[in-house]
Amino acid sequence: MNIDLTVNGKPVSIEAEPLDRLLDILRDKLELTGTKEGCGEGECGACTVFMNNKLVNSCLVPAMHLHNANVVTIDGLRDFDFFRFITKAYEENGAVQCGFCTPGFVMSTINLLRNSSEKNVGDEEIKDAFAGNICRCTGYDKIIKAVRQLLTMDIKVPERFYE
Amino acid sequence: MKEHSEVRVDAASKIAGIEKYTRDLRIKNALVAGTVRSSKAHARIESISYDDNFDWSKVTILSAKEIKNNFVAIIKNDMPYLAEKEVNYIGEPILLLAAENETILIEAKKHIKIKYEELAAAKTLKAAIDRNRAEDLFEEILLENGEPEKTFENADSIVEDIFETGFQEHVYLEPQVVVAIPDGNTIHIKGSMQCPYYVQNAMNELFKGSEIKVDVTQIMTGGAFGGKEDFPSLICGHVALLARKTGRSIILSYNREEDIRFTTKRHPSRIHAKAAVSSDGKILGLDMDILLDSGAYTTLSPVVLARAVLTSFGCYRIPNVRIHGKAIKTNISPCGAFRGFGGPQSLFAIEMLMEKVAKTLKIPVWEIKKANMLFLGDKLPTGQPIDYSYGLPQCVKKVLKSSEYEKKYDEFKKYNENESAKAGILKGIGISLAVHGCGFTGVGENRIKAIAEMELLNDGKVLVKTANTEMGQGVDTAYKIIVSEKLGLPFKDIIIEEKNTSKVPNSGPTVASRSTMIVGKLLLDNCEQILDALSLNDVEFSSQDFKEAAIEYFGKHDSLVVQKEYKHPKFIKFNEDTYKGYGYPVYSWSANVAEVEIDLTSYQVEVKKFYTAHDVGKAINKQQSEGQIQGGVIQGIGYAVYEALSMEDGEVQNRGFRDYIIPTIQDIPEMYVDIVEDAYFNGPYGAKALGELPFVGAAPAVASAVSFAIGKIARKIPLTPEVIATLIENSNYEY
Ligand code: FES
Ligand code: FES
Repeated sequence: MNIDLTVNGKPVSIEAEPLDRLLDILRDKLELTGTKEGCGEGECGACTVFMNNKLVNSCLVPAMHLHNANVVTIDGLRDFDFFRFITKAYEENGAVQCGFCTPGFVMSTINLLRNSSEKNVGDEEIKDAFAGNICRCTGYDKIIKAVRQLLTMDIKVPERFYE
Repeated sequence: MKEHSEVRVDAASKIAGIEKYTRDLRIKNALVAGTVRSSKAHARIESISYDDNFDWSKVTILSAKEIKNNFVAIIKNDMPYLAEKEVNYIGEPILLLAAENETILIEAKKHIKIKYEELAAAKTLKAAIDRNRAEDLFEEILLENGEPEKTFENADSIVEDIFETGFQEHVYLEPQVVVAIPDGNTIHIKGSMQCPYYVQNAMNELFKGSEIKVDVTQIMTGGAFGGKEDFPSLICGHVALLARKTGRSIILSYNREEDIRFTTKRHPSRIHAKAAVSSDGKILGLDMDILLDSGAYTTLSPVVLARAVLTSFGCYRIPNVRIHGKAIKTNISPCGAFRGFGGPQSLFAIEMLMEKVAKTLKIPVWEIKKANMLFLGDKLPTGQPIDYSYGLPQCVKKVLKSSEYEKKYDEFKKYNENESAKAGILKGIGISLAVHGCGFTGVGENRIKAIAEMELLNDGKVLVKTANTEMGQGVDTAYKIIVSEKLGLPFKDIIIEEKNTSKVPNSGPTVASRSTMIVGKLLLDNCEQILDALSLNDVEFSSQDFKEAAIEYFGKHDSLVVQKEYKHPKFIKFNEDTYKGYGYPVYSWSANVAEVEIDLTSYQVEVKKFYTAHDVGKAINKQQSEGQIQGGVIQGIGYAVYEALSMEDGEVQNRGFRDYIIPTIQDIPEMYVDIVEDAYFNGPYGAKALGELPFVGAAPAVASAVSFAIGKIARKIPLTPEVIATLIENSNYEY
C-alpha cells in the first residue's frame, strides 16, 4: 500500500505492507536511525517517537495506521533551540552511558518539559514520565538529576512540532 | 592528579541520536542471516530434510559439513559453530540461512525438518550432580590452607548451609548484532562486541589453512556487561562463513526474544558452605563446595570458577580453608561472562554464611563481620598479604556513617516487633562487605602480554591505540583524561583510534575491570616514552611547549610511534596448581548497606535506600565512576530481587522484558555513593578496578536486609515474592 505522512515536518510518500512497523519505516526506508530498537515489543522505550503529537513506541505502530500521520523523531528535534539545554543537562549530570536508551529518554524528557509547569513535577511525576523507558546502564539516578535540573530552567518547548 | 568530572566524549552524539551503532550502519547489498536451532536438549541428528514446496533458490543454507575447523576458539575449543551429529542444548545452532529479507527466512525455517534421536540429558545442575560423570566436569579447583580438618574437629561450633543463586541475563539494551563484509580474500567483521581480538583469534583458527583473512572492528556498543565478551566469537563465525559462501555482506541481528533465549547467562550456583566458629564469633575455618552450572560447553567456565574460588573468603581473615570448586556441564545453553564473573556467587555465599553464624550465636551480624574483617597486613588463604591499597576500613567507616546502620538496626528491630503487623510491612537493614580482584586472575596478564601504542602526529596531536572498547563504561573518556593529565593536551588533541584489529595492537580484552588499571597504566608509560623523545621529561611544560617540541621533532624525524607491553611487578606470582600466591595484583573493596521493606500481602521486596562506599584506588572520572557504581548496584538489586530466568525442561521460558523483569525507574532506591581512594602503586594515578565491584556487593546487602526483616536466612536469590512467601510461611523451607 501507499502511505502519505509527514515525518519531521516533511511530507513523505512510501510503499509499505500494512503490518510494517513505523520503526522500520523510519530506520530503513527514511534512514532516520536516531530511533533505536531495544525490544520490538513496546517494553523498553528505545523506539519512542511522537505521532500526532503523542509519544508512541514506534515498534508497535503498523503502517496501516500511518495515513496522514504526523511523526516527529529525535532526528527532527535535535536542531531545535531547546535541545541544547537537554544536551547540556544530560552531559553535565552524567546521564549517558552506552547511550542506546538515550534517544528514547530524551523523547520522554521533551514530552515532560512541554507538559509541565515546573511547580507540580516532583520525583513521582518524573518517574511516571519515564515508566516506559528502560536503561540497563545508569541506574536512572543521573537521568532523574538531569531532568530535575531541566525542570527548574525556563525552557520553551513548543506545544506542537512542525505543525 | 586533580579531580575530574569530565563530560563523556560520546555524550552529545548519543543524546542527539547521531552515534552509529552496528544496526545504524548502512551496509550495501547485504543479506540477512538466520539460525536454525536444536529443539532437543541432547540428541543425535538423524536427518535434515528440505520441503520441496519451497523455492530454495532464494536461500543460502550452510551446515557443519562445510566448516573445516568447526570449533569456536576460546579455552577448550569444544563448542562448534554448528552442530554436526549431536546437539547438546535447546537452541544450539544447526544450520545458518541467508536471504534477501527476514520474511523469506521465517518462511524457509518452516520448511526444514530435523529428525532427532533423543539421548539422555542433564537439564538441571541437580541432574548433572546426580549422574556424577567425570566427563561433565569442565574444571575442578582445590584451594587448601592451614589445617581445615583439625579446625573443624576442634571448633566450638560448626555453622553450615546451602546457598543458591540463579541465572541472570545481561539485557544490554542493544541486542547482539554483527556483520561481515567480504572484500576479495578479506572479510571485514564489524559489530557490537567487547573484545575484537578474541574474535580475531577465533576467526584466525576458523580460517586456518585457507586463503581467507579477517579483520575485526568494534562498533559503538549499546551495553555488554560480559554478554559481548565470549558470545560474539560464535556469531562472528556465522556471518564470516556465510559471507565467504555467498560473496555478499551478511547481517546477523538477534531480536530480543532470540537474545534472551539463546545467548549466554550468568552461571547459577549451588554452594555448600561451612564455618568453624569459636564461641566469641571468630571464624577459624571455612569449607566450601562451589558448584557452577556451566551449560553445554566450556566457554569461560574455568576462569569464572577460578574467580569464584578466589572470592569465596570475602573480606575476612580465615586461617584454615578448604575451597573446592567444580564447573559442571549441563544440557542447557552455555553460561558465560557476566559482570562479577563468579565473584557474585561465592560472595553471596560467604556473606550469607556470616548471617547464619550471627543468627546461630545470637550476635548481631555486623559484630561478626567486624570481628573477622581483614586487617592491613593480614594474609589471604592463598598466602597473599593484603599490605597495600586496602581501603575497606575507610569504606566501612563511611557507609556506617552515611546509613546510620547501627541506629537503624535497633529502630527497625523495634518497628518489626511493634508496628509491622499493623502496617503490613516488615523492615530490614543489611550490610555487606565486598571485594573484587582487579584484572585477570593469577598471572593471566603476563600471558596476555597487553600492548598499548601511542603515536605523535606532526601537528602535535597524539593518537591512542588500544583494543579496549567503549560499551558505555566510559573507557574512551578515561583514556583521554589519563593522557591529557600527563601530556597537558586538551581532549581535542588526543585522538582515540578506531578499535580495528588492523589498526590497533592487542591490548587485551575489555573485561575483568582491567581497561583503566592495566591499559591505562600502559598509556601513561606511552606518554613518558613520548616525553622522553621530546626531551620534556622531568621539566615543566605548557601545551604550547609540547606543540613546539613536536614540530621540532618532526623537523628531524618522520614519525614517533611508541609501544609498551604489560608485565606484572616481579613479586606478583601465582601457582595454578595449588592456587597459592597473588590471585590478583590488587583488590577493590566496598561496604554496602541496604534498607528494604517487604509488603506482607504481595511479598514484594522493595529496596528503599542503598548506601555504598567503594575503594577504587583513584576515580579517574568522578562522575562516571559514580554512574558505574549506581548502575552496577541497580543490576545487583535486580539479581537479588527481580531477575528470575525460568528454565523448564532445559529451555528458557522468558521471551523478553515482559516476563524477564529488570529494575525500572520505579524500582530504584534512594542511593548514596561514597568513593574512597586508597591508591594502587601500579595503576594510573593509583586507579584499580571499578566496573564489576558495584555489582558484587549489592545482592548480599539486600539479602542481608531481607534476612533481618523476616528473621530467617535468605539462602537463595532472586528473592521473588514466591520465595519470600515460602520463607515467611514455611518454618523449615527446603530449596
Ligand atoms: S523497541 Fe519499541 S519499546 Fe522497545
Ligand atoms: S545508557 Fe545504556 S541502556 Fe541506558
